[in-house]
Amino acid sequence: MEKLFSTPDLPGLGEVIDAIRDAYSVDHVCYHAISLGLDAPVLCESIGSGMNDSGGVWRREGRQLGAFSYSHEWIGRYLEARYDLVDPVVTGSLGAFAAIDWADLDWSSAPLKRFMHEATDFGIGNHGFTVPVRGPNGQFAMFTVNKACSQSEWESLLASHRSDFTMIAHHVHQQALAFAANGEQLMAGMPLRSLSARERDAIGLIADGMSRGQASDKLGISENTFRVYIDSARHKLGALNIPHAVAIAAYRGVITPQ
Amino acid sequence: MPFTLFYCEDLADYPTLGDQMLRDRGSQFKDTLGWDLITDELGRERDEYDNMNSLYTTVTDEEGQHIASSRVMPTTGQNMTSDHFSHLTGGVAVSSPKIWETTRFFVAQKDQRGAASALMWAGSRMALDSGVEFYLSITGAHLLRVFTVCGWRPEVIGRSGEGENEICACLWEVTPKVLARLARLAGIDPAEHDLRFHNPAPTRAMVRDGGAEHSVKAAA
Repeated sequence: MEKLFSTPDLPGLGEVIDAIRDAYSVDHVCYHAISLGLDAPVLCESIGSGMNDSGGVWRREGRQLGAFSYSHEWIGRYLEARYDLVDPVVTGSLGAFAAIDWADLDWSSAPLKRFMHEATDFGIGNHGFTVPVRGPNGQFAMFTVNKACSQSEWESLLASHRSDFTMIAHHVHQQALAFAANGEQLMAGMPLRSLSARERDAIGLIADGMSRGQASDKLGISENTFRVYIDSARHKLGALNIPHAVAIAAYRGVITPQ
Repeated sequence: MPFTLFYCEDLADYPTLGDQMLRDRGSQFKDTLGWDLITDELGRERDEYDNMNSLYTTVTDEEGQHIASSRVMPTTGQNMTSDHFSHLTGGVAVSSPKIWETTRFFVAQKDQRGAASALMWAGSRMALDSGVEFYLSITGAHLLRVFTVCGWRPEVIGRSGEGENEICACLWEVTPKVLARLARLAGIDPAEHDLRFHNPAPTRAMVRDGGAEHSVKAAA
């Protein structure tokens, strides 16, 4: 999982995708940003594509960018056939924010049955989970995990990791934003969003070694309220978990560890 | 008790239900509670957060009339709580993929309890499916009693105003246990319901393909 914390360039984002795929033993992972927001100027060349180390694909085109573990051939075929216009995962995700299990989508029409068969031939699994990511300033992205497996295996994967996938979706998006922003901020993981006093207090108390219960008592708030504040801080710091958030906060001087 | 879940950008696909919902919002929040809101000539209340493509969870009675609804937004994008009410959340502009905001919680007077529990069940189910752990809401203090009666007692994070004008920031933890309790109170059989509950997306796709209003029926 260390790769999730690494500094991405665009091929690097492809490596992150591969690392997630391997960590969760799924067949494919893909991230596709439709918009990185108005305040994320693109500093590198506007169009390009290439391969990940493991044969997956990264692409950037205008304001969109993506990294996929899908094969180069499948991406090519998908774009050639303009499957993005009919793919129910895409049409169902655009503008949305609730996660989507592919099994809940309607694949019954003849063209979609053909699309699905073709996808299977290119190694796409029968099960998928897509998290639409909505950020500030019109940011929008889609993150998908995909696996060929039985219904029971899929249900057990989602039961264990559904929250992880949601968190990782947003984290990958933040990494992509950092990539699109600039080199300085890349070092710290993402463009800095300021923390309120309460969020700094919450992170600081955890950094001092307090438990959630102790820290919430100290702040005079309920433990659930504390969880909300610290999770908000975690998200703004671009961290995947609380220890990571504490490390980033200390590194940036947001808190001063005792 | 049928549920219909849809995004604001698909409002046109739900002309009757959407109209009833927005009019009920106007009558409840603007006319009755006197909130500073804007309604159109038909009394429909809608604001900029709807226009950011909020998600609606709605409950209708057996005749298809709107009896309960709420508006859901992720806190990772722009949302009402962090834009206008962070003084009720400890000064924190709450933002996390684990936390969704729910606002405009409406329940018609008749059958208040069952409809509200059903609405909360649908919202919780949807949240759990998306890996969400908390709902955050700014709501009139008068609703605290309703929430509690319906089996989903909120934690109040902050309050302001007095009497009828008192509003509070509320927090609900979403867990499978909470979901089971709400199902029981709403008279929903989750086992049966699991099979028929759909995420909003396929509903959108079906509506687009079929052109007809589609609602997902609960077992109740």
